[in-house]
Amino acid sequence: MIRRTILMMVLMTVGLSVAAQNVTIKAVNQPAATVFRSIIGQTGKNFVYSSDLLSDLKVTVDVTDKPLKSVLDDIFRDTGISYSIRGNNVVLKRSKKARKVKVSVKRDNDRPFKTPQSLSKPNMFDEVEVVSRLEAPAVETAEMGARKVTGADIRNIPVLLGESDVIKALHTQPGVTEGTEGMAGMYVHGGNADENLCMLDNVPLYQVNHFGGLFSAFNSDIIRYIDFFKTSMPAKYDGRLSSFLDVRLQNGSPEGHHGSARIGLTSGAFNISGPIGGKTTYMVGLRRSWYDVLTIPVIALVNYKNEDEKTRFRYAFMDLNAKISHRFSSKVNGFVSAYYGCDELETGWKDAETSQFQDEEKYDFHWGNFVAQTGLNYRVSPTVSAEFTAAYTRYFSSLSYDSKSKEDGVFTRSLLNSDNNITDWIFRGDFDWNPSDDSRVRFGANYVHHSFLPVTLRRKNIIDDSSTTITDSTATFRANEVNLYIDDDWRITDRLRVNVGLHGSLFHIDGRTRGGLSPRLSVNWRFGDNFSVKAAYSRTVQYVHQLVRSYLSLPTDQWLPVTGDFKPKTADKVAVGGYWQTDRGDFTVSVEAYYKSMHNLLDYCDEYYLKPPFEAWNARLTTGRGTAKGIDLNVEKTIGKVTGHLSYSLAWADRQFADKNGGAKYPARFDNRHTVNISASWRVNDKVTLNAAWVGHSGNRFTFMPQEYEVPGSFGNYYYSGGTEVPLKTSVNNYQLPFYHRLDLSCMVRNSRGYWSFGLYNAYCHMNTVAIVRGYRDDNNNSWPVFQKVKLFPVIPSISYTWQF
Amino acid sequence: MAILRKILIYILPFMMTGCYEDFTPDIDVTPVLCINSMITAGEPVEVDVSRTWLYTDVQSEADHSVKDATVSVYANGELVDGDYLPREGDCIRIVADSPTYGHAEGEVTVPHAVSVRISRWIPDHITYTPETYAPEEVDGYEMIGFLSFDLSVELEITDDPADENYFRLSFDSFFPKQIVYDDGILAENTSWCVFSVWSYDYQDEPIFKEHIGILESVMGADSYGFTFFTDRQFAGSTYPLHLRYQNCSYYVRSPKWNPELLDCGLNLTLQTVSQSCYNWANYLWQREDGLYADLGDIGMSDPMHGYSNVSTGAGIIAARAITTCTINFADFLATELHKATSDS
Repeated sequence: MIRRTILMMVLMTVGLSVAAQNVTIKAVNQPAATVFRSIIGQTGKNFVYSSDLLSDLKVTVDVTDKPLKSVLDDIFRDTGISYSIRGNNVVLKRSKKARKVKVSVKRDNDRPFKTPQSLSKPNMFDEVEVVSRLEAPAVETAEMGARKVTGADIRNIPVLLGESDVIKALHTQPGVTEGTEGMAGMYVHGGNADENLCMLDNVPLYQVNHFGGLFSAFNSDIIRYIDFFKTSMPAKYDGRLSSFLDVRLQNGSPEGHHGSARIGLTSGAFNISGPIGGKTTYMVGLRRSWYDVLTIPVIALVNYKNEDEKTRFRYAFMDLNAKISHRFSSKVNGFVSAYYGCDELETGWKDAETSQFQDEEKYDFHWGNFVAQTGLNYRVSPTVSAEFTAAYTRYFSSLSYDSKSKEDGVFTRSLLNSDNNITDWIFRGDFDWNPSDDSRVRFGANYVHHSFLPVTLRRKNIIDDSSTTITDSTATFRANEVNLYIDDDWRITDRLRVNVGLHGSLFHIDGRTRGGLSPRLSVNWRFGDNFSVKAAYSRTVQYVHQLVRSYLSLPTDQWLPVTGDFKPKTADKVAVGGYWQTDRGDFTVSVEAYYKSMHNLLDYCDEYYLKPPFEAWNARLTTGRGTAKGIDLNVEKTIGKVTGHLSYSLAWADRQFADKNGGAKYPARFDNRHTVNISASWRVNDKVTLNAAWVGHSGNRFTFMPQEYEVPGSFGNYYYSGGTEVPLKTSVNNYQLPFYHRLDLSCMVRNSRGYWSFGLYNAYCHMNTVAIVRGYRDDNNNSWPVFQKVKLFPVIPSISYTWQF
Repeated sequence: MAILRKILIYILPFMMTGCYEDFTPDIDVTPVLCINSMITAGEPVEVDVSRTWLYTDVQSEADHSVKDATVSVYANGELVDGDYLPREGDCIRIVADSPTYGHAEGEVTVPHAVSVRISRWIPDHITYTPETYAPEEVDGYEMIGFLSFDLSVELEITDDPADENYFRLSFDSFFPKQIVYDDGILAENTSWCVFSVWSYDYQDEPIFKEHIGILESVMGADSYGFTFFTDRQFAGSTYPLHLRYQNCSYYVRSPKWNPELLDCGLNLTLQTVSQSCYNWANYLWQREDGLYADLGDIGMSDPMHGYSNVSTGAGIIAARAITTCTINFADFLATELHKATSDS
């Protein structure tokens, strides 16, 4: 078990009279932090505790004007947690009795309780800590379509090859589509994959996956939580149209050196954290794939069989996270962190030494992200806290080609190297102010200096002793971006709660400044304690976009700024919803309907490939609009040995571009009309947990060209003298692939040192169609054309072991 | 693209363990008319009308012609008959109607030929082999030997600033005809010669690679065989094409010195082609050597449909005007043969 003790002080104080020690509170299966927040509002007390102590503790309490001490007694009875009131602080720690009693606290943390330890470092109690803004249940908050996902939630979802994945965990949410099976793409409410902002500890990442999209770039073993917003967006977030993921990593453990080591089928991970002195902690997480090791025998066999040509192949990815946190004072915490994630692909071949020719070709690809940042969390006053961040983030992609040839004693070599990258310098300040118990104001600003280098190409030709070098480079685009935001989460009455905000942005590039104002409003009207109705409006603005031409995530999918005559992409979204939970809070139900209108979208135009490469990329693009609408239903059971959820989405999404599909409207590729997600987790006992997840959705849209025609060879067929048969153009996304469905199972078995994880991806082996191709069937020297479904992924078992120390 | 296939060979089976399954799609297919026509300035218009067919329809594969179609050709808006000879600058519109397959039409403007001249040509790597046959066969021959050389040519194109031009370069060699019997054997003691160009180095002229993206370059794609280009990089000005012909070979065998056997050369033909013709060729390159066509072939990218400028989306109506320049090697060959024989 990763034993991390994060000491935390909840920042909200005052509001009502500090002297008022009686509280009135009704909470059913609420996160403990939410209940504490209410108590803080009424009493002015602070709660001081290790987050590991309470993570995911759910509280049910119903009291009216009772003394605080009595309420606390009720809350912590039989939980193994004791409290003491020291001045204005309520200090929580594990009860010594817990060594002998069986803990019955409802937790969905997959880690067992360890022997309770006293909070031996009281000087750490006042540590300031960033916490999720999504602690409260949906029926209480104004936000719509928001979700907090913990590291434990991620690990409880069975996935391909047992590789826990942030993005795949979010695929189970209504309104979120996974795109092509197995890929870590994410399409939210009819949007595109580049319309989701992924932030790692407050810093955006551009490349968020590995292996062509098979795995995400986040090491789930060290994730503390993720705040995910897809319907109503807090004003803090802008710059993407569809959704926002705020991924927060764990801090180091101040209580000792703890960590874990995991070995799985395709990758391994090692994480460790601990104290450095009394005020500093560290955390290091490393994940690396084994794929290159696994392919060694395959390549060796291929090369053994082929005497004329030797193949070269190696693929690997890795993530490295490192973080050092330091407590400067009771009010100030700082940290320095770095993230490096990359993919490496090396391939090629060369003639065997016995061959007549001595040719050799090498292709090397290297791409990824590097992020370095430093941050400061500062409690300015009892009601105001601030988070300052300075960061450097760089996305890089390097492709190289090396061809050597020796013929008739003449040695020739051709080297090509292509690079593209994005470098951002980010400076931001985020503030959190509680002017009263009923109001929470968040505001902030950030400045980003972008530097885009779309491509640089270096060619070097060597013939014997002479060489020539040519460098072609596109211009580097520099852009300056400024953002300001403010929002207020305001409880106007007991029934009415409003979150109102505004995000303003300026984006300066090529001597032009583009601006955007993004108003946000969400309203919650409660009908009684268990039912509420919400409505929301949000506008989002996006200044950068990713040019994607395949369903894979390739290193050549460039991120580019909005330039030329193109305008920033915008989306206006309205939503209404109803939220209900049972008295015990064991079931919650939500229904949300939304309509999203997207403007100034960019996509490749028809026959974009006919445009010459040296022209500006804008020449290949066309601008247009899109709409998405639908209803998301979610039923969730959160208490008991069996928990889980069922969600259903009814959705429509379309696109219309001036120069695509002849200007006609067409369905979006992931216009999945019906989507059903069912997941269940059964905690059989303290050692064994079973998980199951079933997904079914209408098939993705596909451009299917059933007809063809012939053009005579005299028309410029440069490689073949005969006629050429080519596909006849059809409308875009004219065909719907078959209904997609899949069941995944996993089982987690704990022992004293860690846990085993067993998985079955696609348990009933229904291989789903991901594409249609035109192929040929061969039989007895005959060959005839056939349409073929490309089907991926049969049942795939997985196993991994995680050792915790 | 070979490298991509190489990569996928190792990645896909391992991680995806996928498969292909034949199927018959439940989709309505209506054949439409296809028009193909390559119009050459100064030559009668020929139109080929056919129809589209279902990709899997192997039964009707042999004949896709349309018997009941009527074809009309319009030049600059006027209906013309089959004897009409299109001129440069004409807008030719072709209309086809069929009771079975409906209506199709498309148009093209015949491009103007541009001015070209050979500004210089330089042979190098000249080698002479006097005896290519057994010694007893060469006695008494005044002309005999094998001359090979490489050839650098600078072909100057003067672009018309009024037009957006697209070009295709081609070449062919010529030499005097031989006396050949019906059985294909040369007459005994016949004077004969052969001139040929073994290969053309497409890498020597960068403009033939202007359609290749950086990614494709890095992935090893080349422009072999592709001699289409545009005036985008030299619009309205003069551009010298740098051409490199390798292993030009001249064989000669004659008992008497015969100057007519030296009449060998190279025709360089520059076609000014319509945009539709260029787009079609570019599409073919993308399909054969482009990265994303390969991805489309395996279902990982949108498939690439055929380029067309016909209303039904089937067929190409293209046009061209032709200019030819000739390099005659007679003097060069005479000099080299004299020099070689005197040296020996």
